[in-house]
Amino acid sequence: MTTDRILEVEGLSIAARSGGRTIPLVHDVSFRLDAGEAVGLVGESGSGKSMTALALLGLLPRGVAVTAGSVRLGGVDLVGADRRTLADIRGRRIAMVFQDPMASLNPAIPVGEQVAEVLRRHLGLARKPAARRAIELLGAVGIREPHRRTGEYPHTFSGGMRQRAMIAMALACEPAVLIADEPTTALDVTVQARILELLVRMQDELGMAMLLVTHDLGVVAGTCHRLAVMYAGRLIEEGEVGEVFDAPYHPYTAALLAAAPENAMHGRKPAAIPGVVPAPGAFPLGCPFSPRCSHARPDPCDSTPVEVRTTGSRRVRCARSRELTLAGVER
Amino acid sequence: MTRQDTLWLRLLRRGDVVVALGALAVFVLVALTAPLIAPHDPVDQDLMHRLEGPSAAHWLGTDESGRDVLSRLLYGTRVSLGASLLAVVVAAVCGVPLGLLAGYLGRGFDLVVSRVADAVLSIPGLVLAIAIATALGPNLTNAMLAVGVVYAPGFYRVTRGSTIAVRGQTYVQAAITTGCSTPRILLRHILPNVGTPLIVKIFLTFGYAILAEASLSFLGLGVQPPLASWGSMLKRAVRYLEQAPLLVVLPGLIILVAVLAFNTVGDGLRDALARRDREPA
Repeated sequence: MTTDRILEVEGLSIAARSGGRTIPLVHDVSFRLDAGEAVGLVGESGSGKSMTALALLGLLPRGVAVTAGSVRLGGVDLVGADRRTLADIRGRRIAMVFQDPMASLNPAIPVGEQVAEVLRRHLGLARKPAARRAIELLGAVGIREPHRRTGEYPHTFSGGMRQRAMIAMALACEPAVLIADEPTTALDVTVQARILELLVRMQDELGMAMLLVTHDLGVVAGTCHRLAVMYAGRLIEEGEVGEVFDAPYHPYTAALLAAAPENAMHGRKPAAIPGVVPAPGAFPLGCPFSPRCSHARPDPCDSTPVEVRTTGSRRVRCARSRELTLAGVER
Repeated sequence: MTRQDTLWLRLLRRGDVVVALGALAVFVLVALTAPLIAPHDPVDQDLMHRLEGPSAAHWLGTDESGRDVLSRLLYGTRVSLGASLLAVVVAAVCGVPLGLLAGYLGRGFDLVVSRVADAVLSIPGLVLAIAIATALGPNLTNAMLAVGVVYAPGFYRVTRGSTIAVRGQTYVQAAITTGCSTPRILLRHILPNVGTPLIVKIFLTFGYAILAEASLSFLGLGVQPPLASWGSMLKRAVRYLEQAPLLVVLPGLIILVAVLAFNTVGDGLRDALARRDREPA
């Protein structure tokens, strides 16, 4: 294992149990995060990307569990790790920024104290040094007058400012891995760009790995080095952002690129993908995308589960990827 | 302006709540300072001056043993409020931690504790208190402990319900991702956010507890002579209703005012908090 390979996800499968039935949500997902690298985890709602992100922190909701695979963070398998180990790793080695900044800060605790709490928990700082460091951190993420704002409650902060505070909290102990679950989806467009800028800057400064969960390929293009595309609980394509955007290997990736509203700026109409994502539990036997795929052929696509094919640094899960040449987009 | 400030302003805008808060403040003050402000010893008998009306020496008259009614009412405030406080504290101490745990952990623990709470809730509080007082001998402390246990499911349910609502909030998830332990999440992140309905519950329960204490003492199962509470004064005075109606009216009126005050403040708080929660941040 090389030293800069920080987080390795191997064959991760997640399923929900309800009423004696087991519904697979994520199937055999593998990817890795290297130090200083930003990876975009892309997919539609219900593709399993958020479940995958939550599983990395052992945060799956009740009734949902990892059924196979491993999540290795510096030699520790987070799947099946005991409570104590997880609690020591969370916030210290791996941290998370959530989608809705209006809901991710505790309304009953002053913002600075929430940041200081993490420092005291993991770095063993005393009350006063932790409070001082929290002010520094709030300043570092771009909150003006941090001395004054540190004692204020979250409801006095705007959405963008709350997300900054949340980022300060997540980065307080300089974790090796940051998981950002749609960190800008709930924000105004103008604020979105600044938060992404901040994430990229902090990631650079701290040399940490970042997993950016998003449905927005534009966000990936602007911030990530690599991307992994998920569909119906499966990882269907992975590779360098530039290569994938130029020449996607999987028809779904190509369709996603063609559907991006940014196309309008290049004088093209965004092309919608016909049909809907299959519901969990109703995934077809073969390629889950074949019912919506314009390139699907009955025999290779529908009969057997499609395996991942690796070429160089790229991986794709498509039965016809050898034959197809798909159009990318300009960036 | 902080959230707390606006809450107080909204509360004080309601006249009835202001009056009720004033009444509660007087009750608490009297309970704390009864020995200092009472003009007479509440158990001092003067058989030469029984059942007298108000006079310069005895502002509210004397009872059937010639004891000063004002002093007994002042001391009785202490007994009545103290006993009610005991019941409320017992109810909260039993109900709140179990509610937090059941709401947060769910599953088997929730199932078991909730069924026990339902079972306790099916017991009429006063009947249990009477049974215990009969078994252990009439004693106000025992009786109010029993009342407290019977009120505990109320606190349990309010806490459990709010905890379930708060548990799913992202900030609880966020706290977990920063490495918080379960006890810390419960006490620091969830408890303060379920606190507001609990404050309302405390006031409303206090009103019920005063009524329960008065009922038990009226039945002779609460405070024992020569000590007085509002309920026990009422009990003894009923026999002399025709000679000294004031002896019945005064404690009865005070019980009425106290219960009304606690309920009014509880209602006012509930309205003020509900409106605050609806407002966008």
